[in-house]
Amino acid sequence: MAKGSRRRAKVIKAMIAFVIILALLTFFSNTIMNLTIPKVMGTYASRGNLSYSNSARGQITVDNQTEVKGLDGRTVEQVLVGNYDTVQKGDTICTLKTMEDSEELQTKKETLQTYERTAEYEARKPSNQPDYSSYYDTINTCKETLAAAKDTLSQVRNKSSVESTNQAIIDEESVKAVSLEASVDAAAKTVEDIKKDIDAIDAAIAPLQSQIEVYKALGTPTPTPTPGPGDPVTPPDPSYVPNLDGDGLDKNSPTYEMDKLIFKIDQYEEQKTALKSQLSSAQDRLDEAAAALAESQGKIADAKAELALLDALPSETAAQNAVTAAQNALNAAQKSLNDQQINDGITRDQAQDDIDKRNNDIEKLKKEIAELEAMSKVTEIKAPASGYIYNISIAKDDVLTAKQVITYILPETDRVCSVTFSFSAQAAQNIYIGMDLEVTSGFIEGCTVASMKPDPNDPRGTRLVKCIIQGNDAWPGEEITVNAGKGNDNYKCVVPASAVNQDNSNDFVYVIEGSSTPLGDKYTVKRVDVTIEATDGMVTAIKGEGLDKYDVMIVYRSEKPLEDGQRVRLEDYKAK
Amino acid sequence: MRIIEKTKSFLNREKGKAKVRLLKLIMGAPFWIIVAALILIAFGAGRAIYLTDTRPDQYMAEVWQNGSETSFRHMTVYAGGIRPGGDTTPMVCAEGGKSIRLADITEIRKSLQSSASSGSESSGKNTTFREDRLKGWEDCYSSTVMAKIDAIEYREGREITTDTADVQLVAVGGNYKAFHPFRFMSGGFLPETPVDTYQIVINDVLAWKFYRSYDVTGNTLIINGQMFTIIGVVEEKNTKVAELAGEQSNRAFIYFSALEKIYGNGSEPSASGDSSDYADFADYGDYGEKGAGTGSATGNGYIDYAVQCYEAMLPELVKGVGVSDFKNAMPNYSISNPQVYVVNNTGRFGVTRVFDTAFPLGETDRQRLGYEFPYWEVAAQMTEQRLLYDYILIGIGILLIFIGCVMIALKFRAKRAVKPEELDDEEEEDVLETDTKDLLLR
Repeated sequence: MAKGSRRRAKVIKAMIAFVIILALLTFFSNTIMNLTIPKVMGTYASRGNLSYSNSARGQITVDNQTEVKGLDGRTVEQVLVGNYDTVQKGDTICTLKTMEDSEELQTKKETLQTYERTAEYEARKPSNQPDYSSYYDTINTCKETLAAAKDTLSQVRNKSSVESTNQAIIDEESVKAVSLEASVDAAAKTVEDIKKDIDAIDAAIAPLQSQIEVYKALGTPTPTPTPGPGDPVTPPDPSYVPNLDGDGLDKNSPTYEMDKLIFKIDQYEEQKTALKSQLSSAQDRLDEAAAALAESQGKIADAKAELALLDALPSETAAQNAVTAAQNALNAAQKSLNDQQINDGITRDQAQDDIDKRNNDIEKLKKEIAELEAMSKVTEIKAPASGYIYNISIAKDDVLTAKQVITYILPETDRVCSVTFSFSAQAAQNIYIGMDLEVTSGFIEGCTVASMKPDPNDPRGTRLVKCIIQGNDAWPGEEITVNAGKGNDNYKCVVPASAVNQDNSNDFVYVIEGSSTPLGDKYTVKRVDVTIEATDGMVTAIKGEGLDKYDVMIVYRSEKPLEDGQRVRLEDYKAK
Repeated sequence: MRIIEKTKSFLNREKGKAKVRLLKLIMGAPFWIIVAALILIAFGAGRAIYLTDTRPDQYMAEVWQNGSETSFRHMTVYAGGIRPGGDTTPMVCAEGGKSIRLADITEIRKSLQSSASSGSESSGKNTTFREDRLKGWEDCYSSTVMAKIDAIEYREGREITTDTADVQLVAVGGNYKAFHPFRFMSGGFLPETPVDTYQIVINDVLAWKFYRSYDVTGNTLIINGQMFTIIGVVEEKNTKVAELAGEQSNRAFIYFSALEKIYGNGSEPSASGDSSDYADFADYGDYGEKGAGTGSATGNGYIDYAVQCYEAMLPELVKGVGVSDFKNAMPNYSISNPQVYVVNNTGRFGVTRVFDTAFPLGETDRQRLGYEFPYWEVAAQMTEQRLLYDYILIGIGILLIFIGCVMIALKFRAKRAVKPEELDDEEEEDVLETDTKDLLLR
């Protein structure tokens, strides 16, 4: 029971708390909304007439000013002039601290030494001419391969004719060889027969010779030899009557038997000589026939060999492919050689470039070192011209750089000052070269248009008008405003100037869009980028998408900066 | 005797009850601590939001960025100068690099343009001296001076001065509106490219004083004899900080170049002849033939009106690079001797930045010493001080919540050990006493 009543009490307490919160929220709802939704005021864009002036602003630059540059690495000891001080040419602008240990100079010297050492080492290196012999060897091999392949291809193509030629040779020579073999055989037999006859004669002479030797041994007188041409001739005995036989031999002679033997031997010898003569001619014939036969057989063998070689030849396609492959190999080898030569050439040129660069660097460093050494002796920067010091940018203890402009010197008189203004193309229509523009700010005696050109960034819409400033009171950096006449136009969309906002991308306005919801009207703002056509400071003529409609309400005052799509409340103007 | 005993018994009983009540109060303390912490946090956070909301000029980088992928940083530099005739003469340049000259603006712009082009590929400021005209970064400059302004009307062909007021003139150049969001009561602000140098924008305080109305565009005012046309009325912030910073005073905005017209220059007297104040410049600097001083003038007497405040909205692809770009662009800035006071407006109201500004104590005040800050910077500095208190309050609140949570945890731990309903009154008292002692010991 106690638990139930306790729970009931809790529920009642929760309900009371809920009602209190609701009441508070209701009471402060307007306040909460006020905190979250900014109030804005809107106005309808109207068509209207706007008077404006074609004004432009620009900053004066002096065209004939003299730049005074710093000395690299030097530290300012004292600045002796101030802005707009008058100086004469040669006056000291600032003094510099003495330069004892210049790190830059040391660095440059070390760099120079390194370069020179490198150059020396390079010069001592042996020349390294490229060796292309291996490439040439490869090319020659490829050429030979190509020639062989071409030869093979040629053989393949001439195979049939060679085959027929050789076959004809074989046929012809085979016939010839048969007859030659017969001739050789016949000649050989003849030679053999003659040799046999000679052997028989020799066999017949041998006993006769033996008999002579016997007779000689027996003391049988030998026939007188026939005197020679120089020998003394014994006159024959006139009384002697010979008894001649049928062979004409003197039977009465004591040497008759021997003479008879000699005579027979002589006869045999004569036969033998005749046979030898026959043998020689037979042998010649045999040799000739054998040679012819050998020649014929050689031809046949050659022809057969050639035919055998023809059988070993590849197909024409294979031979053609071999030629192509050989040609490609040759081309590749030549290309390798060319590539290598080109690469070597590039490497050589690069090396030469490096050398040239190093030489240039050495020259440059030498020059810089000389300049630095000369500069280190300078302790003052002097005015290069007379005039006013302007925009001096150094102070004590500043470290200078070479390109740093430490000040400008403006001529005291005859300053050539100019300003470049940017006008819209429409406004520039009324501007001409030589026209004097009205100066609305700045103590300038006059401002004359010197040149006019389209703005490179907007050649169609904008003109850059360069004006020459008269008077000696023109100082660089001074901003002047000029007026190039008034304009007066009707515009479709004119709004209070405060309605136009700006961010990093464009000018824009916020358009109020309303919608009805069950909880009431709801307003949001939509950003519309605009182009400003003209302004007189109070109102602005704008051009933008959808702004020419009659019911477009544009925010011209807001409690806080707005964002695109943000919900807003409309504020009553009088409520302020 | 019985009465005495009864009284003693009553007192003993009441004493026991009081002990129990005290113990219950102590045990219920975590709840009240947390409630107090929440109130502190709500107060601190609410006021911090309110304070930061009232300084939209410190958040213009976000507005300028407006959805762009490139983030922007709002930087400001305040430079020194001298006022030869007091508050009623414009600030002129002092020697020694402590001032920013109008001529320096060109160099600063060149430097910033160079940084913007190389760092973020942003196009550049829409000024006439450069070739491209695309936007990317913006700047403005300003200087203040007190002046007497006459409101005039033409009646029956005669010029009649209807009212006169001492007004703070803010001489502006560049795109001032991009850095200072105004709520316009009527008209608009001075266009960056002047339509007429003698246009003027006044605040609602001055408009109400002169005309009892805010629809006053087209009326004319006279400053030092020079006639100005009102083209807009802006509303001043109606906050305590704004009031203390002087925002609620009479104020008018004119072009910087109009300063020369109304206060004259060394080579040409002003139309009204009131530039006689500057005849005394020689007493303060090199303006005349008198001896050396600290002021700045050209050899022919040209006066360099100092730029009191230069502001720039810089794109930055890398966070923080805008700060260094801006500082590097300052002609006489160096870390050891800044000569000028640089403010990084973007994020200056963040917790760490506020504490960084406040501590070490006195350091920032020393840096700010000698500078004459315009009203918006004074208000921003006051906001920083108040935000410091708010952040401290929030910090205390968070600490109290932590303490309360720890106490609640301890209480539940104690309850788990002994259930209160299981105890007799005397035992309960003993347990409570023991718990209290434990709690106190812990």
